[in-house]
Amino acid sequence: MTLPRHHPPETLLLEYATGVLREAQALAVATHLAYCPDCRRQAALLDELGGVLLEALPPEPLPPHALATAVAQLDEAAARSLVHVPDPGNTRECPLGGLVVPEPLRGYLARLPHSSAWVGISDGVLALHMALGRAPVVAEILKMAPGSALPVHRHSDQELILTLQGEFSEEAGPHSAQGGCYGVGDLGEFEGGSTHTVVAGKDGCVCYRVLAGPVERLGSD
Amino acid sequence: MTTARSSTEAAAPAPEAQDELLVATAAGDKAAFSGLFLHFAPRVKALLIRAGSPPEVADEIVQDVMLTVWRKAGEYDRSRASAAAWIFTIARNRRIDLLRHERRPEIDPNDPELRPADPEDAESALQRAEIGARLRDAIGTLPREQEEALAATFFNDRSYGDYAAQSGLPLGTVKSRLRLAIERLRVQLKEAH
Repeated sequence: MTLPRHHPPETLLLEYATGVLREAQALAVATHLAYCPDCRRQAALLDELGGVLLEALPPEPLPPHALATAVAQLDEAAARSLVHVPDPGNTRECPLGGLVVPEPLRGYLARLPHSSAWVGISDGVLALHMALGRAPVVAEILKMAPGSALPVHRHSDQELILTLQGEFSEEAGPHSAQGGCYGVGDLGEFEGGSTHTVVAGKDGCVCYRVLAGPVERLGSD
Repeated sequence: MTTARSSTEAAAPAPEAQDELLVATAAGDKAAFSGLFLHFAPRVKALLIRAGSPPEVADEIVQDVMLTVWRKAGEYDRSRASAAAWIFTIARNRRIDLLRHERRPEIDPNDPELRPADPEDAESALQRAEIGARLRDAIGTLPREQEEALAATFFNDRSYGDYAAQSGLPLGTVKSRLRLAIERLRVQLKEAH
């Protein structure tokens, strides 16, 4: 079992730790953490940093009865936490068939509405829309047949791709960084304005992808 | 401003004592919870105000955060996080839920699909308790502009782009300051080992 080679950049992990990252992007980072003990350790370190900075803040005075108010609610709060809420998640058959992915993505897939369905977006490429975040954000699972490709595209904003099965290679267009090969657990971050193609490996691939902004297809032949 | 330090300040529990208070809170100890409240609730309020909450809204969220601490204390694992870091994450997650109406996606530490860490890794061998102390020292050595970028990032619910626009710095400069700050903290944690 190999460990991921492509990691979220430091600044993306920091946005995840501070909570500024939106849900669709945070889901890609958090699921990468499940695959990657190195980044997990790094994320734990950033949480500790949050704790140190919290400690260092000058305290703001609370209303006079703040503590009494909280203490008076403790018994009720404890009772409420014991009420078992059945997880509605496990009622749906996993849309990825036999492929088991780690949390938190697994739970998100289990909660997808029954009406969600695979849609062909190009030759050999199916997409399952996740309904996370507001337009223009698009979060989806991509299932790519062996050797299939996402047409050359340019995105106006950041694109995140997390590989869940198989691998894809990313070929840079003339205006972006070098390409690379992305296997299970690898997270690719492609910045806004970059142009590239994504080609599935010989066994195909399944990925979680988040587009922060609209995509422009280039050369639609 | 600094002359009137409250009595709760004087009795601020040391980090290890905070961890013990949280463990006791998990066992249903209301006095331990009160100790955590006196120390952390005013700081959580400070965090919320810096993130843009009006004081009255911050007071309500503080109550919610501290009751969440009480309810979830059983999930706290002191081998994984300090009490301060754990309470920071509760405050962050409640803020995302209450103010942004979004879920916070997180790993499940007990998920069998989690790839295990290599036990021989030097950094993971570092005692968790030491990490906080070393981070505090390391933050003090950061160049001022890196420390500012870091604090602004943690306490303002804004993207780097907003911070860059507000501070008049190019986005690339903000990102590289943050990268340098984190890299420097990490190097210092390794060197101190």
